[in-house]
Amino acid sequence: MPASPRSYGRLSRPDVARPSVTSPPHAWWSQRVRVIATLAVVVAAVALTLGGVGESLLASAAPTAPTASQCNPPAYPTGAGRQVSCTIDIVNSTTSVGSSSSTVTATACLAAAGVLPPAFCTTTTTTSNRLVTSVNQCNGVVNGGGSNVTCSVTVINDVPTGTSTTGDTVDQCIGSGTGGGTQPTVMCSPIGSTTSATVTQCNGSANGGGGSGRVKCTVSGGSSAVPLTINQCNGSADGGGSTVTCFSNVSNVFTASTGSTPTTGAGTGTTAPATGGSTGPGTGSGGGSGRTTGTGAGSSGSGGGSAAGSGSGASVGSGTGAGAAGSGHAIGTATGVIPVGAPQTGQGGAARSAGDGLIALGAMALAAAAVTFAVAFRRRQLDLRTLPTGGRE
Amino acid sequence: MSPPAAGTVLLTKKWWVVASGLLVVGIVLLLVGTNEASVSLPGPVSTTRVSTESKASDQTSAPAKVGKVAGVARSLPTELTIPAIGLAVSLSTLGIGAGGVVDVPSDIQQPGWFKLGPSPGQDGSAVILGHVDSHLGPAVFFNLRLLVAGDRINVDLADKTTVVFQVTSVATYLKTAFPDQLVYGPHGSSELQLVTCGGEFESQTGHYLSNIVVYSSLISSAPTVN
Repeated sequence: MPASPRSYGRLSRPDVARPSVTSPPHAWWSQRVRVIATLAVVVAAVALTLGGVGESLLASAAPTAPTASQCNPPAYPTGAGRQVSCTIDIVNSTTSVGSSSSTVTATACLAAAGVLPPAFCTTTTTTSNRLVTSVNQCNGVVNGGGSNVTCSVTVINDVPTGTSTTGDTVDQCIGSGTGGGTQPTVMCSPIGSTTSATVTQCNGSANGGGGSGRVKCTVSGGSSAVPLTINQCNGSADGGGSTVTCFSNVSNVFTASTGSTPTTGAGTGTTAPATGGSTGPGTGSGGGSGRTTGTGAGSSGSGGGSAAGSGSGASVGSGTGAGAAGSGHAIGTATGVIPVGAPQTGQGGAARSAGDGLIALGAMALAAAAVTFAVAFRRRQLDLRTLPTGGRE
Repeated sequence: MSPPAAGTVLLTKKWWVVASGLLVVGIVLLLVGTNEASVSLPGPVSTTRVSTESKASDQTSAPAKVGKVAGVARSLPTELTIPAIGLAVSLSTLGIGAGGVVDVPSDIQQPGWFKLGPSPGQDGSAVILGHVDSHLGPAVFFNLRLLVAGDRINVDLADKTTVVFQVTSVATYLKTAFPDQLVYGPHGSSELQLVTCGGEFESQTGHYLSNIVVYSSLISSAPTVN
C-alpha cells in the first residue's frame, strides 16, 4: 500500500502489559504525584506542539516568488479536528518594456474545527520583482477526521494589452468524496482530469465518509496571461466527517499604454548647406516615444523634443542638436473583473442598537415575570393547603 | 393545621400583582424594541448631494464627471483619507467569493479595495468597500452617507503616490437593483467608488436593503507627503 498522507501524525498506543500492583494506603499520595506528573508532561507536550505550530505558521505564510507555498506538512498538522483556512492572493504585473513584479498576500489560519477566520490567522505580504508561477497549499493536511479545509487561490495578471493567454486546464475532484455518505458527496465545477493541469486541486480528498457535498471545489477564470500552476487541497481531510472547500480564480487585467513616458531625447541634426566660412543654421530634433530613448535624424525626428542646433562648415555643415525632453505619461485602461450582486456591508448594529436594548430589557422582564409567577403559584398552593376545606383566601 | 394569616394571603396577592406587572412591561418592551429594530439608517445628505434612488435606469446613467485627469499606473492602495468625515484608515484587499459576489472586509473598521479591478487612479472604476456597522455599532463607513459633491478623497498608493478624488455624487440603490456595471465598469476616466450599506434594515435577514455608493473622479496625483 503506498504511503498516504493519512499515515502522518497517527499516534500508536503501545499495548504494554502492566503488572498488578496492590497499593498500600500510604502509597496513595505517591500515586497521585505520578498522575499529576504525567498530566504535566502531557500538557507541556501539547503546549510545545502548539507553539511549534505557531512558529511554522509564521514561516509558512511567507511565500517567496516565484512559488507561493503554505499550509502544508510538516508546518501544518496531519491530525484530526482542525480547521485549516488559507488564502493566497497574487498580483502579477508586467509592463510593456518587460519589467515584472508580483505581490503575494498569504493568509494562513489554523484552529480547532469550527473556529473560523479571522481567528488564529497570520497574514503576510511579499513583493518580488519576479512573477509568481506556482502555488502550493493545503495538500496532505488534517487527515485524522472531523476536520475542515477551506483554501483559495486568486491570481490577477496585470499585463499589457496584446499579451497572449493560455487556456486554463483543470484536474479537480478526482478520487474524492469516497467512504460513504449521502450522494452527491462531490460538488465541483468543473470536474476535470487533465495531466499537468493549470489547476490541480481537491483530488484524493475527503475520503473518510461523512455528509453530502463535503467536497466543494471551483475553478474559475478561463485563461492566464502568465504561465501558472496551482496545486491545492489534494490528499487532505481524508478522515471521517471532514470537508474540503477550495476555490481558484485566475483573471487577467489588460493595461493599454496609450501615451509616451517622459524621456530625454537626444537628436543629431544635419545642418542646412552653408556657404564656406559661415555658420549654418541647423535644426536638430529628437525625442523618445514610449519608454525608450529615441533618436531623431535631422528635422524629421519624432518625439516631443526640439532644439536648435548650430553648425559650421564649408559647403556642407554638420551640427548637433540636443532635443528637449518629450512629454507624456502612461495611461492604463483596466476593466478587471465585475462582480455581481450587492455587497453585504452592514449588520444593523447602528440602526437597531436601541431596539436591541429594549428587547433585552423586555426579555429580562418576561423572565422575571415567569419567576414571580412561579413563586406566586407556589405560595398559593401552600396557602390552599393550610386553609380549611372550602376555605377562601 | 392552622389557617394562613391574613398577611400571608396578602403577600401572595402581591406576588401575583408583581408578576402580572412584569409580564405587561416585558411584552411592551419587546413590542417597542422589535419596532425599533426595523428603523432605517439616515440616507445620504439631501441638501447638496446628487442622490439617485433605486431605479432600473440608474444602471445606465453614469454619474457626473469632473474634468478628465490622466490616470496613473497600477499600484496597491494602502491608505484612505476622507477629511470631510475625519476618516484616515489603512486598506485591505478584497476578491470575489462564491457566486461571483465581491468579498466584504473581515474587519468592520477597515475598508478593502476590490483588487480584481483597477487600482485607484488607474483609468477605470476602482472600488473600495467598507461596513456601515456591525451588531456592535457603527463601523468604518458609517458616515459615508454624509459626503457631498465636492468633498475630497485621498488614496495613498504603494508606489508613494497620492491620488486625490472629488466626490461627484452619492446614490442609494436597493440591493435588488444594484448597478454592477455602473459601479465597477469603466466610464472613460479614472474613478473611485466607495460602497457601503444603508437604507432600511431588515431584522429578519440581518441585512440592510440598500447600498450607498459614493462616486468620485480623479482630480490630481502627487508624490505622497509623509
